[in-house]
Amino acid sequence: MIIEQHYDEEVLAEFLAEPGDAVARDKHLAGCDLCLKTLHSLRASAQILREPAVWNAAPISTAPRPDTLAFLRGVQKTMAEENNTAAVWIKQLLAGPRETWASRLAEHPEWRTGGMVRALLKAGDAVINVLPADAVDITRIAVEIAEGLTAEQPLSNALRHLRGLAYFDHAYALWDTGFIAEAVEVLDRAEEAWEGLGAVEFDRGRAQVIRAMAYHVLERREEALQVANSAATIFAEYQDPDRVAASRTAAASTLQSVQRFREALAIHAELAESADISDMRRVTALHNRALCHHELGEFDSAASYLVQAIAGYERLGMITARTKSRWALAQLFMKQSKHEQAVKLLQELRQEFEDVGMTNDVAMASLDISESLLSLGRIAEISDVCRAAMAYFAAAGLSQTEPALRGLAFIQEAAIQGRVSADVIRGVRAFIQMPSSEPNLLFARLPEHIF
Amino acid sequence: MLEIDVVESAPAAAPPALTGDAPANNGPDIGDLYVLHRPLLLHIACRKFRVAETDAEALLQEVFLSYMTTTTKVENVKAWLVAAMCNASRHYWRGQGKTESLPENFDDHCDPKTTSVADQVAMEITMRQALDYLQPRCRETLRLHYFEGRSAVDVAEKLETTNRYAEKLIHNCLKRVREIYFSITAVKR
Repeated sequence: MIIEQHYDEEVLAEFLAEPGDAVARDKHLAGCDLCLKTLHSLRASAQILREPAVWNAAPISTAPRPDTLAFLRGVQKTMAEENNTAAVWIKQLLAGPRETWASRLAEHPEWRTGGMVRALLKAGDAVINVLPADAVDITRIAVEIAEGLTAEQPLSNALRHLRGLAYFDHAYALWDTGFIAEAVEVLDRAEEAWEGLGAVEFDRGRAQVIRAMAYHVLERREEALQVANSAATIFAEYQDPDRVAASRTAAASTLQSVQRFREALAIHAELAESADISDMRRVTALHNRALCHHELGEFDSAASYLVQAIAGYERLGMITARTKSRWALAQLFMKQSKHEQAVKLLQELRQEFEDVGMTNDVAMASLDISESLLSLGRIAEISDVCRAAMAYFAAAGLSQTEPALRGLAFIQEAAIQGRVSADVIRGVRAFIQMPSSEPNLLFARLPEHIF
Repeated sequence: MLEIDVVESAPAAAPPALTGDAPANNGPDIGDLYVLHRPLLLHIACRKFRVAETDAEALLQEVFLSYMTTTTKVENVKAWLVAAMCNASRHYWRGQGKTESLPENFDDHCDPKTTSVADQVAMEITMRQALDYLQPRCRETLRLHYFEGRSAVDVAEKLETTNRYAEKLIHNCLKRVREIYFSITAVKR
């Protein structure tokens, strides 16, 4: 039997003074994980011993300061009391339609407290995904109250911090509802509120992520990249891997928008394989990675990652996200001319969009189906697809206002007349996606040279 | 409030509900947190950033106030407090920087791929403790070799001994301080 011999610490310690390649040149050490681990530990110890802090003999008081302790506990108690009172007031404030909130607040000057600001921010958070317009008004009221609050030092810094948070939440609500330029202005006010504060970097990072996304939409792409990367650095310091992932995804989105798919792919790939972020972030990275592969013409990889993303969202119960991944897969099938598979998947998706009331997506999925049917030469079915979608719009009470309905009607008519083409479908798609200030605009086909 | 799931034309995953876990709402007793983390945070300010202890206590208070004020979920409280303390210390020096020279490492940000500031500082505190248990001659040997960067020959001269013995001393003292270090950090069963 051969007994493996390892180096003892004394022998290994001699390597500390040797150049780096000495380890690679030593036959045993190069292949012995145990000895390498011990050497690494010795290096770490030696490194700590080089730190001045280790040799600083001046004592640091270890006993907590009673005055600080009492102050912090007092602040926490006051905040808890304010929060409890605000929990009652906010129900009264938000009891009626949002048009009544401002006047009701005016009747109750006693409601203007820090607790009420916190309660409003919480309420805004709760409704942002279901009633985003309400979130805008709720956070606007939070800003109004926060702007009117005053405090003496040392609480004045905390108040400025809270005021900045009210601006931040309001900016988020504005961004979420498409008021991008306004969101940037309000983010500037948050920064002003936090100016000169030393311990608010974490919230600055959060604001930077929103700012990056706003800049992205405003096509201020270099600035978007800069602030997204800055936010990632901040969150790395706070050891918040999920927020690092959110920041880096914001940067990757901007890279995608300027066709820098390889760089974006590298970010998504790293996040998709990261062990320290949440499943949700990892699955989202898989989806985004697939989109980059799609754009780069790497269709097999794209399909593989979309299938993984779909399974991941299924596992997490994120049904809407799963639907979007399935849609991306259907569009990939279209790109690969696998139109039979695309039509089958798109029909399922359109039903899912109908079930959850995603009206615009019903229309867009119908357009995708029409395009695949056209490629398959099944022209007659296009009219049926449009008719079914229009029936859905009518049943949902959207018959007068939705551009989607008018676009679908145009395609249906074109299909009946035998003049539907890829150009017609593309034109309608552009019409539906176009933000319009004229909600009752009729669809009219754009001149040929536009296409 | 809000966290966003940033994706390109992709699943619009709902932002996680965060306010329920915000420190101000139902967080732990702030006094307990202060007592628990004060030594580490004070060490960071005073040793890493060389802030005077009286000023460091004020920064500490500001950090805890900020922690109570933030309205979002904090994933890792210790890391959050450490990073906030680093930022508060940097901010302090920016304010002082107009009249005094800044510490060399005042603008260091921790590299997420390396040891965190909290871990690094905890190691320094523990090593400081371990050194206190060493014989003075052993402590002096390590100080000369590792902190002052003197060679074994220099150490031998300083300690008035042979080169070979100085080498042995350096190795043995390192071994001894590591034993003490690991006994301090060992999980008690």
